Amino acid sequence: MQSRDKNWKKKPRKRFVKPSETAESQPQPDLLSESLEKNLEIIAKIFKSDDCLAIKHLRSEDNTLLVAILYLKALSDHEKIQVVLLNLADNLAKIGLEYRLHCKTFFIETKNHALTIGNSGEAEEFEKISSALLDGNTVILFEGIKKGLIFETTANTERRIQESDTQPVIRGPKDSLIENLSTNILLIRKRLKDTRFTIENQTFGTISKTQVAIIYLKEIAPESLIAEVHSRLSVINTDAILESGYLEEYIQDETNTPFPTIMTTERPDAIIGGLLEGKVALLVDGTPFALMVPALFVDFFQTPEDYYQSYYISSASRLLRYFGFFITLYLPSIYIAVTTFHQEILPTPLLISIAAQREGIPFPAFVEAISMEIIFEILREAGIRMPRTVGSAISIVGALVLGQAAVDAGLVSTFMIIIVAMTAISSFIIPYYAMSNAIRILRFVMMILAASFGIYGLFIGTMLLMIHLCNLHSFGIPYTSPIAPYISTEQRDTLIRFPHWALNFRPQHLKAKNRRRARNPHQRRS
Amino acid sequence: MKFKYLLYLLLLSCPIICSGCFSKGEINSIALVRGLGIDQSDNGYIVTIQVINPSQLKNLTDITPISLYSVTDQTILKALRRISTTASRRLYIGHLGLVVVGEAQARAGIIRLLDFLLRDHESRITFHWIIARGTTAQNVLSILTPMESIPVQRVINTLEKSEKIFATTKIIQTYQLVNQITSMSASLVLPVVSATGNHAAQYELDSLKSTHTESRLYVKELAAFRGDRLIGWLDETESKGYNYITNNITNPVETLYMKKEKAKIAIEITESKTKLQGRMRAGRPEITVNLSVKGVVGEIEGDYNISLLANLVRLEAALQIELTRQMQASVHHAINKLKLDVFGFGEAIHRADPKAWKKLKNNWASHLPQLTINYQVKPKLLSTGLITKPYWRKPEKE
Repeated sequence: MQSRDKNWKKKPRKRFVKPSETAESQPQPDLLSESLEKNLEIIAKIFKSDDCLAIKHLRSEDNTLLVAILYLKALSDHEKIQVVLLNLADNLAKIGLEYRLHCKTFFIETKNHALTIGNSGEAEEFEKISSALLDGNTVILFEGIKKGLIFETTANTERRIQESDTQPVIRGPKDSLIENLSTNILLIRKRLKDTRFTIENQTFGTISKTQVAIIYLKEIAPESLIAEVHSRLSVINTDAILESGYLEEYIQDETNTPFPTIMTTERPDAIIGGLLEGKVALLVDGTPFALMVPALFVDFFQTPEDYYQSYYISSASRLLRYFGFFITLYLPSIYIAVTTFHQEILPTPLLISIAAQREGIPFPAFVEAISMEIIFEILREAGIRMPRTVGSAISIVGALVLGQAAVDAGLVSTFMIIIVAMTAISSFIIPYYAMSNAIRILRFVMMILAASFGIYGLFIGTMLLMIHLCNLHSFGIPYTSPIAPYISTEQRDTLIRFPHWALNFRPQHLKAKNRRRARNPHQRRS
Repeated sequence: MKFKYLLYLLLLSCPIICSGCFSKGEINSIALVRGLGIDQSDNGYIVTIQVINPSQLKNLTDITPISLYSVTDQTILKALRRISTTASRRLYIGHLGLVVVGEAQARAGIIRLLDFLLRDHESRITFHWIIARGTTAQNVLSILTPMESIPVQRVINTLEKSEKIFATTKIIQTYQLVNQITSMSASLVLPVVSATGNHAAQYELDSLKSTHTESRLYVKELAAFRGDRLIGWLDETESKGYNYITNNITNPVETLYMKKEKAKIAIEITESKTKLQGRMRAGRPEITVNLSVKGVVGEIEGDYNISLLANLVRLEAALQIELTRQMQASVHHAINKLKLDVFGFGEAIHRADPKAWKKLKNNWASHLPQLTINYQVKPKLLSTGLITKPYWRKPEKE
């Protein structure tokens, strides 16, 4: 594991220079002073380019400024502020705010009675106050007191918890992660009622200050893995993490590969399954896609649903996915190889049938195949990017114009259309989009090799692919395990799935601790 | 690190030396040769090839589904190359299905024809061989046939079907042919195709518009060879007897005639197994043919009460006689008339008594007339079909 570190550790970026260090010529005081006027002045200066800052004043009868209430309008929930203000008003009615002296009593009263929930607290530094304001909190400052009170009034902009669009299931929980980190942690935490559940919060990005939660089960996740995650996260130095994809590229073992080595999922149940196997999950605030490490090749062919339905069905559909993988990778290239180099390996009637269809096609098989595959990729990409309202246009253009018309015009053979269609459908059988993308890219390489050297070229391509796959690691774990290195006990949950009572150990290749999941009730011998 | 990349390079270079035969050709730039006909000519061979016309296979309209090219040259390869002066595409013989040899050429010997087909890297040794009786190979390949649009395919399919359910022919693929020609103990037999009627009319696509085709191809006999030269023919019965002796029976039908009831009965053979047992008795070779067949009653014409056990036994006995008769006819014709051991009796002796075979093998043909052959036929009828008594017979009153 250690030997691989140098591969993923990128050159440290130039340290980002904070704008405040250059913009401000005169040094600013770090701590609040007793004078409320002065404090407000400094805060106003910090937020001088932010029109959102709202400052409400409470004055005494002689118009002296005694209390200031600050919040950022865009970030705060006004109803929550209203509650805070009502609380203040209650106290105010009890004490009365006539003189400067009353401020201290008022501060103590408020602190003792109004600070009840959430991230409320007190602060002495300007930095803490400004970051509290940026989180959407309300800050109350008092005349003559060097502390400010912070009330959590963060606006909730989150959307409803919906069914996963990217990883849907027929049977299984329908909820999926959303953009809000605390909601996401709630979704996971409520399903694992154990004190070993560990959440570590870290902030990344000098500007975005994105919160990232590292989640694992203590005493199950191996310490080496946790240490590795920490050490890889510690070198990240960037101004913003906008999505977990940023993080993924920073921490993955090898970036020079089409294959994903970190699992991306928006399903809480998938994350929980991983945690129980001793994996570590990374939740990033602002995106529903969580990361999970280590992720091995076979993991990308398994879905949470495999564990919810009968193991016969799951095993069959897993095998089907691997079959789909081979179809996607090889079908067009085998077609090219066979029709241009190895006509003898086809049964005669099939060869005659292909020959009859290829009669009059102006292009060689390779050009025919690659152009149709590229057209399919264009259709797929267009289908993702185009506005939903014009969605039906793509199917009309794709199916009718490009498919039917191309055959009628004699540009491509019907056989080719069948092959492109099979490849396309098969590529979507792979449950993780990142993996199916990788295979779809590689299929073009295979097609070029097949067109140049026939099946011999396919063998070269396959060998290169094998070498590459065997070279990959995910957080120190060989990417192809448990197949190569072969671990016989892990085959119970790799290509096929054994019933749950037979899966009573955590995976050996992930080096999970505390390996026994439960005592097997079906075990006859002790 | 350098060592690792060197290792990759080494691994990748491994397949370079085992690439095998290798040539690029788009499917629509090659002409699929499905049938090859070879006839004797004064200067070399008349080579005829049947090339598939893929675009015409789906809808037979104006153009024939096949094209025929026929040239004369000294060698087969040269002749095939000469065809390029008329054919627009490269000939591809990887999918050759059938080689037809004209009768005259077969009598002159066929071993010379084999060399090219075995030597060429594109050809596979699984294609069938057939002898054109009473006609030329060129004529056989020219005849268009209904049902199957590629005539050669029709001959192949007919061969395979009739070998299974009629048992009067035998499929010989090239590798079997080579084995048999080189074998000391068993002579070669090849299936025979013959054509009837007005051949020339059947070259036209229009001839397929009628239910009565002018000429048809028949595949029903065997040609017997001494070495690689055609010597004689085995007719229908003899061919079937040959197949019974050589354990090449799948599902044929036998007709029995019961004199007492004047009933004709057809038995469908469902299972047949033959074992040849050779031995030397008093210095003379002796062969026992152990044939055990199982069959079902397929058809009864006449008043024959199959529900009686005695009648069933009689039927089995009749079947035994019939099968023995066929095998005897076959043996009589091949051994006594043609003086050929097509059945592999020599091999049976070789297996049983290698020492004696050493002495016999040099003039095995001269020993053939003295060969004693015993027939052990064990027939068994398994079923009488869906009806036992004739349907027209009234139930007897009790």
